Amino acid sequence: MECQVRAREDAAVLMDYCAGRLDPRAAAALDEHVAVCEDCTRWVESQRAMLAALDEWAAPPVSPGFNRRLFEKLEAESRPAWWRLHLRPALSLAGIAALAIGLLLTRAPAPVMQADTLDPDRLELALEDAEMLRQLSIW
Amino acid sequence: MAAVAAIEPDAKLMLRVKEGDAASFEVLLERHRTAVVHFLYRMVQSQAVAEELAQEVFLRVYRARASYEPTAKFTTWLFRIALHLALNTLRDGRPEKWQESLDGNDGPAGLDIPDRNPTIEQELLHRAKLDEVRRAIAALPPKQRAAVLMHKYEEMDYAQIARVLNCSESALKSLLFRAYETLRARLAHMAY
Repeated sequence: MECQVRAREDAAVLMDYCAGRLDPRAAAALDEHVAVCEDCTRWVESQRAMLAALDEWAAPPVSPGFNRRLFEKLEAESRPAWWRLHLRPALSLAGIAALAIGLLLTRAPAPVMQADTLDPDRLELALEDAEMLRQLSIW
Repeated sequence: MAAVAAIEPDAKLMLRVKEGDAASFEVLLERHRTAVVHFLYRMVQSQAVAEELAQEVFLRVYRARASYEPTAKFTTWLFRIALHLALNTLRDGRPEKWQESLDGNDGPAGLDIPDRNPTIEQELLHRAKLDEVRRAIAALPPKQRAAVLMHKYEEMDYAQIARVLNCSESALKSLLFRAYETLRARLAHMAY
């Protein structure tokens, strides 16, 4: 039959007892109980054997290059990337140009030739220019 | 908040990092690097993966420096990040590395024998026992595993482990008790 000490809700007390984490007074009280309780003695022995087995598992040392690798990553993150240096200004300029063109197109409507606003003198000059170009075979 | 910083040297260092003091980050790294790597190593059971994850932990700490507030113990925050990364790694699965490490091809940890001149038989026996320990830990559900590792190897108190795992202390104690019961059933026969 399971001892009432182990059946208690706060089983952490026995876990701490086996792990040597209890304060000396509480540990001494449990010492007295375990000494006379076969059920708890068995449990404590197997718990301590399990903890001893876990103790044997040592983690390997951290590799010597750990810090160097980390600082390289940090430095790489703080350094501006090539696209930030070159591509971003180029994209910004292209954006500004596109915006300027857009503004020009929307705010300055294309001039429309209207017959009633044509100056006859200018029309005559234009025709003379066209004739001259034709004669020079450039047309 | 200020009170936490006053009693917690790590939080003070982190606040200096926030102000741009890189040297304080190096101090924090030196102080906690080994514990974080070892915790992650035992979680994922691969030294290479553990170091990769530990690097990510410290990168995240550094990246978060600007918004850092000492509302909790620094190591609680650190282990929460480590746990989060470890759980993600386990969930995403790295079975080849996992199996490789369980098969004992992962560095010198399995050869750490107290006797300076062990016989081949002793060495094989020791390796077999270590393998059993590692498999027993690996068989635990991830949250139980994390709780055992923080309790047994990092010697954290219940309150802190509960905060890392985001559960109540009583829930943590039941979790630990169940985990240790499982381990006891598997490992108690091993008398070192």
